[in-house]
Amino acid sequence: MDSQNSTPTTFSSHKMQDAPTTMADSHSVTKRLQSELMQLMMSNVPGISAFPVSDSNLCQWTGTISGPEGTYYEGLTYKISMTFPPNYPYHAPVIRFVSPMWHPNVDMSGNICLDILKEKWSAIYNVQTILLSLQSLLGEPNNASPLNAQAADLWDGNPAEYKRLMMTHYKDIGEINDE
Amino acid sequence: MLSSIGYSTIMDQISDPSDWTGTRLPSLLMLDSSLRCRICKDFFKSPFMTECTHTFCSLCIRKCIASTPTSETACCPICRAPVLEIRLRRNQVVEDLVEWFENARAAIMTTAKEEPVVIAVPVASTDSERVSSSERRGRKRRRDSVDEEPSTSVTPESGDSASRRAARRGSRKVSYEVKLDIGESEDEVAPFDNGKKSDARSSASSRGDSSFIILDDDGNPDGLVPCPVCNVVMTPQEVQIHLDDCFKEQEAKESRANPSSSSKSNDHIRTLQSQPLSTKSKKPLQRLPKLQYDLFNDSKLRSKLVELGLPAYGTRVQLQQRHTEWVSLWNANADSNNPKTKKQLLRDLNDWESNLTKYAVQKVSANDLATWGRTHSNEFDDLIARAKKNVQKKLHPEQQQGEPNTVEVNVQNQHEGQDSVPKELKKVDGIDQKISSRTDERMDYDCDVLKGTLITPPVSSDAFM
Repeated sequence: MDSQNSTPTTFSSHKMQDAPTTMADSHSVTKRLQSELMQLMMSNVPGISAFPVSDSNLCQWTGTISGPEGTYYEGLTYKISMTFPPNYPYHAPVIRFVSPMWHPNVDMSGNICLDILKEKWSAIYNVQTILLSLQSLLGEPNNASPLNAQAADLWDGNPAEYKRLMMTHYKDIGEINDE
Repeated sequence: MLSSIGYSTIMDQISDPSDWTGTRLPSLLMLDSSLRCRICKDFFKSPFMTECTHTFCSLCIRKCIASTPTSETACCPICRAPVLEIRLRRNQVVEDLVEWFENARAAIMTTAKEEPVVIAVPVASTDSERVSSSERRGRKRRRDSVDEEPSTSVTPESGDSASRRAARRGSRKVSYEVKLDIGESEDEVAPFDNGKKSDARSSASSRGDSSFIILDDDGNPDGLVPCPVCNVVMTPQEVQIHLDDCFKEQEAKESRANPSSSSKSNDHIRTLQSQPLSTKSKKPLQRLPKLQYDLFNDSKLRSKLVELGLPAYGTRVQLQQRHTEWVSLWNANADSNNPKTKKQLLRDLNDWESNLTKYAVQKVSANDLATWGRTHSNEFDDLIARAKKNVQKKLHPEQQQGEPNTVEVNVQNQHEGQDSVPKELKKVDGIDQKISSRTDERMDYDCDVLKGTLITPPVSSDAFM
C-alpha cells in the first residue's frame, strides 16, 4: 500500500538520481538546523535537550523533556523524536513521543495534538520553542480537544487515578534506549 | 550514542549570537541577534519589511508566503498579521547595518576575545574615591552636554553645573579627559544629531580643526561653548541661534568653492544611499508573477516551465512546487544587490529539489507508521465504514457501488469531517484513540483506503497533495 503522496516522489527519485546532484553545504534546511543546534547547546535550558540522531542526517533529531515541577509529570523524563521536512522551517516538523505518554493531547502511538505543530505553525518557531511548548503542554493540557479522552476526564476529575494510570504507562528513558 | 558525534567542525563555521557570550563585549549579543532573520537565523539578506514592520530576508518571507496554502491568507511569522507579497518593502537601513556589522564582526570578535587590557588613567586628584565613582558619572554627563549643546535646548543650569564640575577637577586631568570625550563622542554624535547640525559638526571635525577640540566646555569655565562651525565662543543659548546662520554661511562658502560636494562625510552617506539605486537602474531584473495553477492544465504548465528554462519532467505537483520555488528564488534574487546568474539559481533550484526527493525516499523507508497502518488496515476499513454510517445515516454501505454523485459527496464529507468523525467514535476505546490522531500519515492513509474502495473522484488527486 503505497501512500498517495509518496508515489510521485519515488517516481521522480529515479529521474533525479540520473542527474548529477550536488548537495550544497549551505543548504537552508541544514544550515538552519545547525544554527538551532548551536543555539540549543549554548543556551542550555534546563529540562529540555535535543540532538541529531546521526551525523549523516540532520533532519532526524531525538530529544528529551522533563516534566515540569508541580505537575503530574514532575520528575519524569520523556523521549521524543523530531523529523524535519525538507521545507523546514516553512513547514512544521513531525514530533512524536517515543516514550509511552499518557496525556490528554497525546495518543497511544505518541502523536501530539498541539496547534503550533499543525495549523498555527510559524517559520520563526524552532526546536527550543517546540520543546518548551511541549513541556508546558504537560502541565496545561487542552482538555477541550483531547486525543486521550480518559486522561482528559481524569485530569480534573480524579487526580489520584490520573497519576496511577499515567505511571502504569510510564517507561524510564533508560529502558527505551535499551530496546 | 549522542556523545560520539563530532559536530564541532560544523559548528565552527556557523556564526551565532551566542558567540559573544564569554567575550568582553557580551552586550553585542543583542545587536548580533537583532541583525538576523528570525526565519533562517542568519544575517539579513536583502531585508524586506512587512506592513506590520517585521523584517525578514527577501527569500525567507517570499518562501513563507509561497508555502501558505492558497485557501489561507499568508500571515507574518512573528505576529500573524496578514502579509501581502506586493506590500513588502525593502529595508535599506537594515541592509547597510548588516553589511557593516558583518564586515567588522570578525575584528570586533578578535578584540573582544583578547585579555582585558587595563589602561592606567592619569588621575591628579588625591581623593581617589570620589574620582572613581562621581568622576565616572561626571564624565558621562559631560559628554552628554557636549553632544546636546549645539543641537538641543540647554537649560541655564547646565552651564553652572559645568563650571562647578570644572572647578572640582585638576587641570592636568581635565586636558586628558577632554581628549577622551572627543574621541568617544565622535561616533555617538553623528546618528543622533539631526541632519544639518551633525553635518556641521562632522565637517568641522573632518577638517581637523584642533581649536574645536581644545575649546570645549571644560576649557571654558564660564559655561561658554564654541560654535562648532566657526569656533566663536559664546553661551549655549546663543549658539542655538547663531548656529543656523553660521552653518548656512559656511555651506554657501563651501559650495561656491566646490560645487559638487559640501563635505566628506556627506559624500560618504550619499554614495551609500545611491548604491542600490544605481545597481537597480543598471540591471532591471523583472519580477516573475505568481501563477493561478488551477487555470493551467498539465501541458500548459509544462510549456510555461520550458519557457522559463526549467526542467519540465515530473508530476503535476512537482511542476507546481518547482515553479513556486523558482518564483521565490527569482524574485528574491531580483531584490539582491549582487544578483546571482541564472545558472547559479538553477543550481539552487536543483539542490532544493534533490533535497526534497532525498527526504521523500527516506520517509518511505523509515516510516514505521506506514507499516503500522498496513497491519491495521482492516480496523481502519471497519472504522471508516462505521464513520460513514454516522455521517450519513440515510445512506447504506451498498451504495458505494452505484451513484457516483453520492459517493463523491460521501468522500468529501469523510475528509471535511476529519475532526468530527473521531469525536463520535470516542466512546470506543483503544483503536479509536488511534484513529483520532490528526497527523499527516493518517491523512495519507485515509486517502489510500478511499482510493482502494471507491472510484477515485476528481477532487481527491489534487486536494491532498
